[in-house]
Amino acid sequence: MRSSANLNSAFQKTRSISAYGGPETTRFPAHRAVVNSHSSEWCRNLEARFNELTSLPRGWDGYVGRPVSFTCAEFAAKLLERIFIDGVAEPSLVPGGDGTLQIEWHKNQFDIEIDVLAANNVIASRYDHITGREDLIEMQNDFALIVEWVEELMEREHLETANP
Amino acid sequence: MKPPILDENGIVEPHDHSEIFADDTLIRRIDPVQHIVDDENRNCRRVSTKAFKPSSATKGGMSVDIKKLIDDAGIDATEYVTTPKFVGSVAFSAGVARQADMMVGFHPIDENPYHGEVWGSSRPNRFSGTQQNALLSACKWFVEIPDTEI
Repeated sequence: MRSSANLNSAFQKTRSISAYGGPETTRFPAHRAVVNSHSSEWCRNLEARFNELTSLPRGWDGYVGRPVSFTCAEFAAKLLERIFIDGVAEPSLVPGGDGTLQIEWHKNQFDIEIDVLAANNVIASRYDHITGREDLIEMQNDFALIVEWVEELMEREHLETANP
Repeated sequence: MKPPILDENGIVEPHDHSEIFADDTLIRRIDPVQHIVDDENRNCRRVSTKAFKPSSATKGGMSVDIKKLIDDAGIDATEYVTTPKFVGSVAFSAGVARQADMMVGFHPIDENPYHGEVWGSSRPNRFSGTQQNALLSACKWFVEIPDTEI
């Protein structure tokens, strides 16, 4: 869904350009790279977090860590849009010092971790505390398995709600 | 300590340094905000596994501080790893990493002359789940983040 006029789009990048052609400098309007707005509840709830992660200062991790790259953040947001299921709380987002980003849930006896290394370069893992089963898979552009994982997360949410 | 070998691009070649001994302590810094997640399964806040993953860059590793180098420089290690910004940190021995089939090397950088890296042996920039679990199991707080589990 495009909304180029949406000034509240996540990851809005602006840059001011100054012209030095004479005694006075002129600041041109900021260049905007407005991306598609993200409509899911997860992305709306995580917008501030995404903005924080893409703005982390160099060395944020005590070493030479850099902010989450715009490419990783945007891909992660699109992935969340794809796998969103109403009724499941949004995940945690954890940055890597290399500009990557991990999406994770730890609930309903599942640990789901989706490590976004780059666009179309994802390592996803899930550990089931009840069965002891661990799955680890590298993915490029087919995330159907992650959709299943989130669905099962929701199913257990319903079970726990029904049987507290 | 003998400097590491660099490739044609000036990137440190993943290596296992002979002067880092099995019982030498490696410190891994943990950001008290960015690296911590809620874990409803364990009913706690804990360090994310992301904090124990290497850089995804080719030849990338997981940054550590080599404690004995800090000690030899006459610097308080606790103070060193909490400067210039406060972060928590965990510690484990080089031997633990090597037992998990990882390499422990020396990689001094401008910002940190005591900097080292841990690489996977088969894929330097990727740790297996087993390797990650080995590190997690062996880690102890060096500078503890309050109310946070490893």
